[in-house]
Order: sequence, then structure tokens, then C-alpha cells
Amino acid sequence: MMKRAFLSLIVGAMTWVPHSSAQEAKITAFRTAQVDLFNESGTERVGQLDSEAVTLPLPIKAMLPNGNYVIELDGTAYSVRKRTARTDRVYELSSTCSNQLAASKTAASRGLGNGECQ
Amino acid sequence: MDTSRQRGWLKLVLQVSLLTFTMWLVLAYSLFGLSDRLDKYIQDLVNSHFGQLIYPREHQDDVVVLLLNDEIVASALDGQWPAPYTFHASVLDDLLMHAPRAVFIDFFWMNRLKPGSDYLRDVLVRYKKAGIPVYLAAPSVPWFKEYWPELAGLVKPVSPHIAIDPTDFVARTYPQKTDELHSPAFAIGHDLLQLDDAALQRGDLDIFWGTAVNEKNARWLASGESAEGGLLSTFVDGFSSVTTELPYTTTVFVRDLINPVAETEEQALAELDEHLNNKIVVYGANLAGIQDVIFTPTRNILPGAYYHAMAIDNLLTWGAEFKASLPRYSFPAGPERSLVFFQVALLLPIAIYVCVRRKKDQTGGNVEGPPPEYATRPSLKERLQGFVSDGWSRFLTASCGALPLLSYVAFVCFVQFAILDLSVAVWAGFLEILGAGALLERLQLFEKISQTINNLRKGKPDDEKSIPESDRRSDDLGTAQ
Repeated sequence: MMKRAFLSLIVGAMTWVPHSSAQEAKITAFRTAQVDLFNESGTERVGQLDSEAVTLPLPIKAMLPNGNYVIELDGTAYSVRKRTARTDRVYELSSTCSNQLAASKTAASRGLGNGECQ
Repeated sequence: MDTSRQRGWLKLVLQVSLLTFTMWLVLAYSLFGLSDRLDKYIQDLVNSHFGQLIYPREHQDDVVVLLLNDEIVASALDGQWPAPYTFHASVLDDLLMHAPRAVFIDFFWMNRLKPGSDYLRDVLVRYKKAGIPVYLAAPSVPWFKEYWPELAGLVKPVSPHIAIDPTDFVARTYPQKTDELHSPAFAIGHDLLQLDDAALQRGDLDIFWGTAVNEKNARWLASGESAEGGLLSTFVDGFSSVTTELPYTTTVFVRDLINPVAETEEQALAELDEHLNNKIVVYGANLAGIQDVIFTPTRNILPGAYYHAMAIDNLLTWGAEFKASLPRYSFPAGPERSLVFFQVALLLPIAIYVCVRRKKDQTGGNVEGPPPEYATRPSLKERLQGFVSDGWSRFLTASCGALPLLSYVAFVCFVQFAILDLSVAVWAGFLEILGAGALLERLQLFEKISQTINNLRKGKPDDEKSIPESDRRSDDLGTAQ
């Protein structure tokens, strides 16, 4: 039992991927008067923000890989497009990204249908 | 002019006509289309090895492929595919800040639940206000009207259909239209380049694939190295490898657009501006398990977005003078018949040259004299001995004799490519005719056929007369012994 719990802990630690740390970076200005406001995960637009009405600087809570900064407004977490904001962020240039262009030659599909065709 | 002279001229005219017609037949038709396949293979070799000399790179920087790859699906979309429309809208929204010249969205948006489509529509309205045309891949006009009525007037549906050669699967032609929908390159060409109607009657574009190194890509993009050898190995082996080399078209990953990184924010945006501002952007995908890849004429496997990008580049570079299987200039009879006319007109001087030269060879310079008997020609043994004794001088004489013909064929190829705007495959047949002509000359087929006809006329047994005099002498000698 103990052994299984320990194993689960190890696996959990290996698969847990944290949001990129904001490291106390702040939004210092917005580039447009109207800014699209998204939910915390950046998957849905929830409204628009009048950039004049926001008190700046605004701390960045997290940086999402889908191109959004998570911020907090009136106690609720939202996100905005990185492109709409000016920040005091210090960039780390030690990239671990892949710059490989390789057309897939695999004989595999992204998934088959489940036979529910009509 | 006396009768024999008239007869001589008439015979020459008939010979020239017959040879021209035969050469045209060889050019236009072959068993199982084998000649056509060979022409296309030659075109690909010319494209691969002489592409840098032939294809100007002046518009290499005007078209950009914005590529969504596995990395961004894994990180930003948690591996989920297809992406929700909110994601595409965000990408397009970020792209809009760099003011591209036009955007082609190389995705079929087929999710009827349309998560995030209101945001997508808002972004496309912004494009409309900015005067930036947007083209969306669609299977057909009815499909677009049924699936995306809210995008009518905001995007122009286009067909991303790929024309794959049934023999070798190479995507070397690019259609103008499929099912009443313009292809993206021709839609963009029509809107931005004002291609005239005459250009649009020439049928599919034959893509000439750029091979010059893209300096912007070379700065950061990694790709497979080509295993192709030089010209010498090409002469021996032809193509010998398939790879994914550094693409000709400037490439930007979606990852770098939505998460711009440089020493400062402003520098990151400036770098993106340098890549995207006032460019024609093809927004496509390179994902494992998605069948959106093409096999290029230069034997590369690339994401399908590059196919459209290269066709757009061809149109930017050559405009209405893009390379195709039909000539740029045509008579009222139509481009197909005009092509036949041009080919016959270009073959005629070759036929005249060959016939007059043959006649001179037969009569020793007297064009009007009767042809000598085949039997007077030296035997193979004598010819071999002659070649060994004064082979080099004969070789040089023959080469100098063939020089005008070679020069003319080179000129014909140039005219067809640069003036008539015909693709290499259309005129590669002229090179083959030259090779076939040299082979026929070596085999002396014409002499043998002519001798057989003469024998039949004289009523002598064919196999007796077709034996050269020298050979018959040696046979008699053998019998006597």
C-alpha cells in the first residue's frame, strides 16, 4: 500500500506541469483602448475591458502557453492576450523549444471515429 | 526548272512534311504516356538543379507560412485537436497587429458547435475594417453557405485542392478552380495582382519550386539535410532521396506569434513585424497524424501550406506569365490548337535541316543528284577501323556539324519557356527528339527503310538486297572456300 502511494506520488510529480511563473512581472500599459478579456485558462472570451479604467501596474499571475497573461480584477482571475499588454517582464532567452520542421511520414491518424456515422 | 529538279524539290518537301509530322507525333503522344512521364521527370530535375538560376527570388520575402505545429497543440491546447475557434481567433487577432497584406486560412473549419465563433467573427470584422482580404479553405460553395453563413462577406471561400500526379504523387501542378471555387493562389492573384482573363484561360499552373536558401529561415529553422548529390550523380541516378529541407518560403511558427520572445517586448514585435507586415500569410498546420503534406517536385515532403505559398510566389514572380502547359499567346482557335501550331512551327526548321543535310550526305553535296545505293556504304568493320584510325577528327567534324542543331534546340527551349511561358515538361520532348534522332542516325534506320522500298520497287528479294555489298562479297568468298 505504502509502495503504491509512493509510486503515485512519483508519477504525479513527473506529470505535473506548472504554469509558467510570472516572477512578479507586471502589466505597465495596454496597447489598445479596448482589450478582449478571457477566462482564466484563455479558452473563452468573456468580455471587453476599457483599458483606461484599469489601475496600473497590474500584476501578472501566470503566463499561459496559449498567448495569454492571467490577471486578477476585482478578486476574479481573467486573462488577456500578451500582445495587448506592455510589461516589465524580463525575458529568458535560453529556449528549449524545437525549431525542427519535419513533415510527418507516419502512417497513423489522430483518431478514428466510433462508428456513429449517420 | 526541269522535271527532275521539280521532282527533287517535291520529294524534299514531302520528306520535310513527313518528318515534321512524325516528330510532332512523338512529341505529343507515346505508348502509355511514357514520354509524358519522362518529360515531367526532366522538369523536376531541371527545377532541382537549375532552380536557383532560373527562378528569381525577388518575392521570396513576400509570402509567409504561419505554421501551427505539434508543440503548440501540446502546450496551448493540451493536445486537443481540432482547435477551438477561440484559439484560431486569437492567432488571427495577434496576426492582425502586424498588418499583413492578405491571409489565407488553410483549415477546414468543420465543428458545427462553433465554440468561440463570436470572437472569431469579431476578429474577421476587424480584418474587413482594416481592408485586409481573408480567404478561407472550403470544400464547396454550398458547404460554406450552410456552415458559415455568419462569415459571408468577411472571408472569401477558396478550394485548397491539391493536384497530385497519378504516376509519381508529386504536386507539381496547381489548379485555378475546383468545383466553382477559385484556388487560394488564383483568388489572391485575381484580387491583388489583377490577373487578366487571358491568363485565367491557360489552365493549371505548373509550379516552379524555388530552391534558393531563405536567409530568414536559415537563421533559426532546423530541417533535414538533402542527400541529393551533384549534377554528375544526377546524370547517373536521377533523384536519389526524399527529405524535408529548409523551405523556400519564409516560415513563422504560431508559437512565436502568440508568445513573442526577444531581449525586449518591442524587439520581439519588431522581429515579427519584419516577417509579417505587408506579407501574404498562409496560416496552416504541420501536425503528426494529419494528412496535410505534399511531395514537391524537388523531392521534399512539406506541409500542404507550402504548396499554396509556392503557387502564390509563382504568381507574384511571373504574374500572367506563369508557367503552364498552354502557351501565353494564342490564336482565336484557342490555346490548345495554338500550342500545336507553335510546336509544328518550331519543329519545321529541324526537319528541313535534317532532310537537306541527309540529301547532301547522300549526294556528296549535290542536292539534286540521285541517292547512292546503300550497298556502297562502308561495312561496320571498315567504319570501326576508320573510327580508330581517324576517330577524333571524325568526332569533331560530327560535333561541329551537330552544333547548329543543338543551338537551335536550345533556342527553341528558351523561346518556349521565356516567351511562350510553357513549363519545362512541355518542351523537354524537344531534347528527347534530338536524342532519338541521333539514335536513329546511328542505327541507319532511314537508310535501311529506303533501301527496302527501293528493292521492292525493283522486284528483287528484300533480304538479298538488304545485305551490304561488302558483306555479300565476304559471304561469296566463304562459300568458295
